[in-house]
Amino acid sequence: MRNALLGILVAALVGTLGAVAFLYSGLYPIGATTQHSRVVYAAVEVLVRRAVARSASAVTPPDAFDDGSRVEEGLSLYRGWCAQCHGAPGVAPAPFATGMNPTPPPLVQTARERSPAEIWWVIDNGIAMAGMPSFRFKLTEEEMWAVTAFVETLPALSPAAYAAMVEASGPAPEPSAQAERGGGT
Amino acid sequence: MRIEPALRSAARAERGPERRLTRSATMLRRRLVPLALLAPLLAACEDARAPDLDTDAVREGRAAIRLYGCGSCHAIPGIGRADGRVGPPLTHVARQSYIAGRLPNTLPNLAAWIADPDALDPGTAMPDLGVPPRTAAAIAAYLYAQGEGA
Repeated sequence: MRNALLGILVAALVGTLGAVAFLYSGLYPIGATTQHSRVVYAAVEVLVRRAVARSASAVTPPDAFDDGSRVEEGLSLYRGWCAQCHGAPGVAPAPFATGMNPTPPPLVQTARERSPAEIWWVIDNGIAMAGMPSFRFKLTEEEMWAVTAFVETLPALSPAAYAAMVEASGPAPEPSAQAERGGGT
Repeated sequence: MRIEPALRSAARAERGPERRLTRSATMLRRRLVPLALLAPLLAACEDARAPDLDTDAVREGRAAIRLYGCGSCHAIPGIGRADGRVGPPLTHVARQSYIAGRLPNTLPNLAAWIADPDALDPGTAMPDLGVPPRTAAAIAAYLYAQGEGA
């Protein structure tokens, strides 16, 4: 019995030392050009999905959130803040964004798979180590709901319809101008 | 690995989409006919796939697929986290008859499609990612080399 306990302790110690040695060795391929292993990806995927679902369960969309009234403002904000990394229907992200690892996902798939509350929560909080920034203090809560409302339209939005919306709404706004507007929460 | 800025600006400098296509198609034919001939064989014979993956074009294509983030829209065999469901899965590319439901599936057509989707299918949701022709050819080679897919 004592021997077994001792064995476990030694194994734990060796494991810990090994992990520390690996961290300090500099051997982990940290470049964005290197893929993480499937195991790492799968674990991160589950981690993010579960953590976002849990955190967002406390978020409630405002009344009549999806009545269409927020979409136009959402489009404008989306073009100013989001499209550089996430692209839009038929529109590529900026070249720097596709070099990120992980690549910022196209949000049409996100909108199909995640709830509005989850999308809002991610805009508000960002996702650590994924490159997704928090927009708290950059956008007001209302503006983040507008972005969410626009993202929710993506699954039914064709590239041509998106281009027409963009055409109708004029030049993309400067993010900095919006930061001042949104910063007054 | 080499995604050359010079090639990219050269592609941009071409006058029209047609000119660009003709040129890249010629280039592709010269470079990739041997691969194109191999592709059906590879699709039929799984064991023959591995040596083909060692060619430079395929290797370069694999790197380019990662760096252009193709996997955020497509499921692609052999590319970690390439599990996107925005566009079609690219698991049986070499055996597919048409590209984008529109173009006969040849290696040059596939490369031309990757380099400038909107020129071949106006209004497509697949964006122009600014992939230079040579890199597009490498990506096409990688996709063809996957044969039946993983």
